[in-house]
Amino acid sequence: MMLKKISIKYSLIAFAVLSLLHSSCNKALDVASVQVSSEERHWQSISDTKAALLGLYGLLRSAMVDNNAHWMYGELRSGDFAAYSRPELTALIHNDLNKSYTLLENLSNWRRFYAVINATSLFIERAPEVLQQDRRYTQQNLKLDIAQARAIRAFTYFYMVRIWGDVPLITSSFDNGKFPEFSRTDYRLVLKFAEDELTEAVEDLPFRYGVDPQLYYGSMTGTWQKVLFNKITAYAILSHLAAYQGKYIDVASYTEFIFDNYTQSSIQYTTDIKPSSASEPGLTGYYGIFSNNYTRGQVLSLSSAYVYGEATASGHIEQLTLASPFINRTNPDIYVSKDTINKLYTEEKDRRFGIDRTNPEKPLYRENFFYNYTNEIPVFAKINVVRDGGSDGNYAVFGSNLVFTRLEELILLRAETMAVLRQYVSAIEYLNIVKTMRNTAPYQLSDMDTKPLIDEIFEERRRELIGEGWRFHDLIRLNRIKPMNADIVSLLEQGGNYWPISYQVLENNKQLKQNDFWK
Amino acid sequence: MIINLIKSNSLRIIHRCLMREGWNVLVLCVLTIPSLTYASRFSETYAVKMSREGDNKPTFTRRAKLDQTIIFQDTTAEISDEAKAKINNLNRLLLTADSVDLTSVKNNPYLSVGDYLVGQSAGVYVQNPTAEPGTYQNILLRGLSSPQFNNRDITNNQAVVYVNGIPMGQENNFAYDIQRYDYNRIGPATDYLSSIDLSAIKSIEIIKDPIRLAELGPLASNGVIWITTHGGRSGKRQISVNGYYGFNTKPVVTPYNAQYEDLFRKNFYSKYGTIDDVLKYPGYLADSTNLNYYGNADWSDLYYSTSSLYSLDMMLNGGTDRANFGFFGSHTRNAISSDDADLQRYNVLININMLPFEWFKVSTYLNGRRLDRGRNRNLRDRYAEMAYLPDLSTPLSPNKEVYQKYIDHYKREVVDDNVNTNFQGNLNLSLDILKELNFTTSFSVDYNEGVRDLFYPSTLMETINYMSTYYGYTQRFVFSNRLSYNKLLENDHLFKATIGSDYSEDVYRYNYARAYDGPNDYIKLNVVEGNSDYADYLQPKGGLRVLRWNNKEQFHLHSLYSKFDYAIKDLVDLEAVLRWDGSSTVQRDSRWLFTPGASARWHIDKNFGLANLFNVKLAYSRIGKPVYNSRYATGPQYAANLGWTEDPTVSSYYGFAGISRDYSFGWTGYNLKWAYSDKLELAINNSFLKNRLTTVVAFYQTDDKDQIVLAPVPSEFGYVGQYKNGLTVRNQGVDISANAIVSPAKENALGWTVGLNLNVNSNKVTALPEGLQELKIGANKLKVGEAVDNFWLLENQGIYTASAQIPSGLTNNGVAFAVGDANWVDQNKDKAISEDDKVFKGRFTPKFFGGFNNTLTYKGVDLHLAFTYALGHKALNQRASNRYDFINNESKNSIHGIREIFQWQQDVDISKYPYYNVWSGTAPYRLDQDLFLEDASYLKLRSLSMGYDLSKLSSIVSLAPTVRRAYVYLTANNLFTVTKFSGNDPELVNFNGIYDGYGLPLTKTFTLGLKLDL
Repeated sequence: MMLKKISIKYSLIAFAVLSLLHSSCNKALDVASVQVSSEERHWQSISDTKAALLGLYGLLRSAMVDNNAHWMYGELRSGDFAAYSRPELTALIHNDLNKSYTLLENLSNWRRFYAVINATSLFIERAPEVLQQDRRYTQQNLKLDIAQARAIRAFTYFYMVRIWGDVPLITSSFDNGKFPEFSRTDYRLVLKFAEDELTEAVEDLPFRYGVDPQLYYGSMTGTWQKVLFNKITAYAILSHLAAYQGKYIDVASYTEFIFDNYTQSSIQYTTDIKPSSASEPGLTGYYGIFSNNYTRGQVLSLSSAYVYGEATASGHIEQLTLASPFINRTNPDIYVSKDTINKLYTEEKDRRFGIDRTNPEKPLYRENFFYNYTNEIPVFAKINVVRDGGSDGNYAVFGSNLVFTRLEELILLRAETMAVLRQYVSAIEYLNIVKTMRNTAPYQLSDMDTKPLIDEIFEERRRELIGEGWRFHDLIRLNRIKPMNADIVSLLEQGGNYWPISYQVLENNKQLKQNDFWK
Repeated sequence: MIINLIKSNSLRIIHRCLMREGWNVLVLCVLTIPSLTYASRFSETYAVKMSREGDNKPTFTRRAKLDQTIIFQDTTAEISDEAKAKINNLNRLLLTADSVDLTSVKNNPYLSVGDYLVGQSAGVYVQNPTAEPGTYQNILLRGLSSPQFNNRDITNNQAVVYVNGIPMGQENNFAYDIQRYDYNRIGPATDYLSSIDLSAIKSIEIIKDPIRLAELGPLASNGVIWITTHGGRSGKRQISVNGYYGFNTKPVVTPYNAQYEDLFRKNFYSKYGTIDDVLKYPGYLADSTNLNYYGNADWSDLYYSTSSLYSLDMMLNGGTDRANFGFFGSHTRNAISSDDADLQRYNVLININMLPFEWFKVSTYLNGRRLDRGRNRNLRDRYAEMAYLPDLSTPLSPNKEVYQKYIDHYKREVVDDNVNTNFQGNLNLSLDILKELNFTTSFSVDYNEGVRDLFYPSTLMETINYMSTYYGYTQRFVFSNRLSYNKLLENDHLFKATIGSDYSEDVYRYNYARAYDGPNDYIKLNVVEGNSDYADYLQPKGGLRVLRWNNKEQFHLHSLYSKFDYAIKDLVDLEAVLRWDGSSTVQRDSRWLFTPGASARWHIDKNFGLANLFNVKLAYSRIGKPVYNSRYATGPQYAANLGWTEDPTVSSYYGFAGISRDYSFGWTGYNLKWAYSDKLELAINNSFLKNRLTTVVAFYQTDDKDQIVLAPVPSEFGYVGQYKNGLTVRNQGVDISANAIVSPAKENALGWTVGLNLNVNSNKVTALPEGLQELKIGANKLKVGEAVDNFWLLENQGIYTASAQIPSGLTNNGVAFAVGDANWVDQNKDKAISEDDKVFKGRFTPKFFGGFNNTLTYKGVDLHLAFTYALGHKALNQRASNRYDFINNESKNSIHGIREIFQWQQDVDISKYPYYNVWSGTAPYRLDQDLFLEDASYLKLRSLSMGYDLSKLSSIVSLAPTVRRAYVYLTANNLFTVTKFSGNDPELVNFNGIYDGYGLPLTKTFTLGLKLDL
């Protein structure tokens, strides 16, 4: 009897425990992921917009550096570099873009660029929500953010058009689990959209962010001028957009704005070839424009600073070009042959590369761009930022900025524009700014008969911008202005200047058709 | 003899049956009688009849050779036998025919749960990519339930191991997210399942029965390995001591030096090489006077060395009827002859059981273990860990002197500590509230912690050093309650109802830090400033730049279930399970899943009074499949993932965290639901020839439905795909096991028992998300109607030796074929070789597999032979592909271009492959073609052991009468393999069917051991 009573008590307790558990269990099952942030927790505060905005730059960087895409598209293809032994790079250099190499298939895939497009559209759609949620987030801040997002999106479209031609123009994020198939939009419409977006964004974009006392996301100009898209950036993109379409009158007005205003963004010419301190704006070396130690503003450059742990072994041209003695590697993947160097840099006083043969027994080399010229395989050392740019090449991760454009590039574009518009005097003037800076002989009006001006401008671009991802795009522009390279002309005629679209992309969207040339 | 055995081993099982009933009822007990004499297991069924009150003597209605008086004469104790039995077994489940016969297995120096099971039970297939002790194995029950193309996928397929009712947590695969290469998981990467000591195990049962799995719930959805350890025992104190010593022998290899390699490559250079190619001939091969490479290739003397292994354990138990205890302690070293790899294990187990009242039982089990793993020295694994590839153009020298220096250096300077600490334990309370009503509550903990400290000096690694530290753990606790009610109805029908609740919480966590190029080679650890008063508190010393990653995952599961049993006399047993499972890793609106299950067993033998065993069971159940990742439950999400292919871990821009949709992971929408497994089984148990032959034949069909996979979306949204429910994989097959006593053991006669088990399995994808018919996953493809583990390859027909042989206009993605290229079949006749021409060429899990075990006894000597076999599966020889594709691999400085020291041996059958143009843009030695596909079927003599029980000798009996057993044995493992496979060993294949030649060889092992029971 006693036992029974106890038992009943226990069973009651047991049931109580059971029922208690059941009621509390639903709460116990609400475990938020710590790996990711959910829809409810995002777009709530100013830190969300900051992270989302910088995420856009990060995605853009990842699209441009994955497989070293920026250099593969712009520098290697038909360019001045030769592959040491990687057969897929040889194929790429020779325009055999459909050979069966994983690298080429991956480079044909535009997914990462569309991730930028999607993220920017999403930002534009969702960032205004934060205004309601967080009072620290101001209308002004939002305006700056949206303008950047639009500029990034426009730049990405422009970048893609250069590579693939017609690409689907998608201007909203969808972001609802629906993924409609879009067909390719005529590239002119895509560029039109980009141009319109930029024209509007440029109104809101500042020359500088966080100008004292108005901080931008808690930081001052010194921080932001090295990384964020500013007014000059947008004009630079607009200039290239117009130049790509041959609208040189537009280029003239856009570049005019740039050269009237660039100082407002703390941008300077890299007058020094290899500065020895941060006070001298320069091109190469520890304090050069490719290094995070460069303190001036930028036109359009993407950072991978070693100090922030973003220096990586891949995604930098150094991965392809550097070798001993800079890093522990016998031979680089790609190099500029001695023949090409000799052909390009003919002036002995050229600070970029020159051979001083005053003493023919023992010539002196200016090796800022090419090191170990005496070797069979010279090393391209113009962009050489191992870690933070110091001389220790033991641990070869690279912290160089991806400099899309800088003032010298833009002044040469302006020179090109003036030349096309037949304003030869000012064209020569702009060209000579670079020539003088690099300690080479100025171009004279009288030279026009022997060396056509337009050729010379592009040759200067080739010398100045080598390794910065311009060569192939320059060839395209040059041959549109003045057909001179039969291979490129034939590519242009057949649409072979574009890349094939990756097999996987075509598989995922049946509306897409392969570029005719690569069918 | 048999009486003794039953007395010592099976009495408790009978007692349990009696205890449960206690009334005048027919009870059916299936006794599994492990026997020394009949080393193979056999089962017999006894019906025990017990009178209603008072008279405790049961009557056995079947021809059991039992002496009833011996069993039940010992009834003088103060408390009843049924109460006593409560504290004498840790297993709460009845053992069935699917238990593993451990008698012969225990003669082997096996280390991991997978090893114990190979060839021992039908339907268990163990994948074992390397013989390196303590590395991950994958235990599959009845086939693959989901795709397994990467190492991380095994979590979705592996069976779960329960030890004394505690489900062991598996390491979460999320650590692979930050890894560029998934060869090894970061951290010690030691298989948790190698922590369990074989000596401590009392029984292992493979649970495949749908209804029993349903009772265990979602954790059990891929099947269960149910392990019960030795524990407390009431009675006189008993001590057992086991030990063995053995050695693993060196493999026979044919090393070669640079001359051989040079000749090999000359084949290609002479046929296809241009002058430019010749100029770029690798330096170490070009100079034939370089004795480092052209000298003796005697590296193998150092790489391989006979290694010793041993184990010593002690078991102690005893106690009164009211309280007892069990203790087990052991130390084991397992090692392999290759590359000094080894594992040391320490294991301590305590079990205490108390019975304060006859209706109240308290029992606790605690087990602590430590694993210390000495890993291989592969370059590939090192560089993958470092996520940094140095210049690979010059390989290690095959010369012994040079290699000796390297090894000395390695041993002196490198720190590679891999320690796992595990703790497992539970506390059980059981209350008999009423005679028919029992309440059980238990709290279980399972904890596995891994620590790895790693340091590579600058002298080994170009000129930088590298250090990394890893700390991670898997922690699970389970709180279970169950209330069960047993009622004997009129007309001998039995009704039983159980309701219960399980609540479990899993936490998975790691902290990982990596630093390159420390100040010198003397500081081998990341030392931080420990004083919080200083500004550099917790900052690394010595100007080290430390990169850190940490992550955490949680998985909470709450289950409510009920089970109903109904037995119609001894003729029909009916069971039903209803459960509701709620998971924290499923989205809120579909978090709870209701799943039913039911089964019926018909005892035909009883019904028709047959002399032999004959019953049939049909069972069905649905079980939810767990997800150990919180990301699907989150729905649309944002992550800091700004990396790219080669550097996937970048998460910031200019030092600021950047957050976006996780494009590289894929879109995770709403409406992601539970996946579940529908299991159907028809099992037929028979015996023949007066039970000398017993068979179990189980037909099964398992549909793992609605699994989440990454489905393609247009790339124009940036996502790699979107996660969708809808993948269904069907496994069908039959498990057959047969145990026969060919000749019974008798005095002075040969006894022979045979156990054969076989699984025939086929699987196919029956549905894909959104009605898709095909789905590509990396280099693999899933197609509705085809197997989930199919190789998808180009069909190779040889080589084009003349331009006339090349069909006109045939291209490979636009590149025209030329002489020296591979001749691939243009399946769709579109004159272009592309992915569309790939076809399914075979599976990587076997169609037939199992074991064949023999035990022979003669005059106290026993001999065990264990064969294992697997037939009808393929392996893709990546080792051969990499060896031939040297131009592409080496020029790229890719991870495939690494040449290990052990690759200076003839491990590829060069007569099998034609000499293609290695420079061709068509990549003729690509892996995804059937040129490298091989039949991986095999038959192995896995174990041969012979033993003798010295305690039977009259001299021993007179000298030491307390010795219950003194069994000495000699065991040999891996004696021979029959296979057509051209690689090292068809078993040493990765989880995805790719053979990369990295598996350390399974060489012959010989051990001598003693088992002493005092």
